[in-house]
Amino acid sequence: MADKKLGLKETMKLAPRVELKKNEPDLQATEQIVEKLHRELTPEPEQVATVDMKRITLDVPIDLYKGMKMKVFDNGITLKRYILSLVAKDLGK
Amino acid sequence: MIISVTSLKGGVGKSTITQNLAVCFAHSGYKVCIADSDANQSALRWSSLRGEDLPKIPAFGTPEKTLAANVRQLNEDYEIVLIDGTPSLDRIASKIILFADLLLIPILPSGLDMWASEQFLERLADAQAERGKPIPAYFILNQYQSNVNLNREVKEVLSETGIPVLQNTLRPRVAYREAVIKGLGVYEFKDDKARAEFVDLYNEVSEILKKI
Repeated sequence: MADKKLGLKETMKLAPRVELKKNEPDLQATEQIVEKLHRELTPEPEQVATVDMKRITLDVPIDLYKGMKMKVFDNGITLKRYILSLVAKDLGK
Repeated sequence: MIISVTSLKGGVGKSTITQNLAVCFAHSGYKVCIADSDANQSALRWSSLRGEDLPKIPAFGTPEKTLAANVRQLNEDYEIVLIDGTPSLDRIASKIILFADLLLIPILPSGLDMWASEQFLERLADAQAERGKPIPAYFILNQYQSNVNLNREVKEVLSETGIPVLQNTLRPRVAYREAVIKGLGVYEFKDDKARAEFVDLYNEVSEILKKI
């Protein structure tokens, strides 16, 4: 007598297609929200310029430098603003 | 329909889950593509490995600068756009969250992943507040073993975040790693257990899509 099947095949069926809602992404609104969210996360250049400044020079490994440049390009900010925001965040300022 | 698969943490299975969902959508008859925002572009490579006899799943690289325009165009051309997210809280991560009709957040059952998820959830909350309407979001527990105490605890803590956790979880299986190097999803692969668990997860996602 053949073994009774346990129905494994039935458990492996993909659900049938469903009707999908199609939303048009609002690019302008999204850009505005992203701008606002990220503006709050990085200090404004004016905020930095109003305090006494000290220039520092440091050597950076080339891989790190490339990574930083790509990051600031992607985020549309300057290297100075990027580094200052990281330091300020780390120091809790 | 734009489905974003993203999280702050790397190595949680974003690409694997994206690719496997894409395979299930394709076999269900949807016209689907992947927008790959991750710097390693693994979805592009995976897509290029798919055989001619398999359902087509094109993948497109979408860096931050072109993400918006690309996603809009892909959303016109395809029924489902799966965005394979990038592990960061940069602008691109915010866009990926904001574009989503459905947000899937893979997470491993570990303390490190839980801590990383806190920041991600803060960003999600900010994005939702600014957008003025909720973004349907669900955690997917990956590499989950229900017989491990910590795992059960993670599931419990996640359920208290306000973001629901999909009932179906994914176990740590070699099949996921093997299938990917052949350009396959586990639905198209020889491991029946992996196939069955992913079909369950896909079917749960499909049920959610009905309500969106």
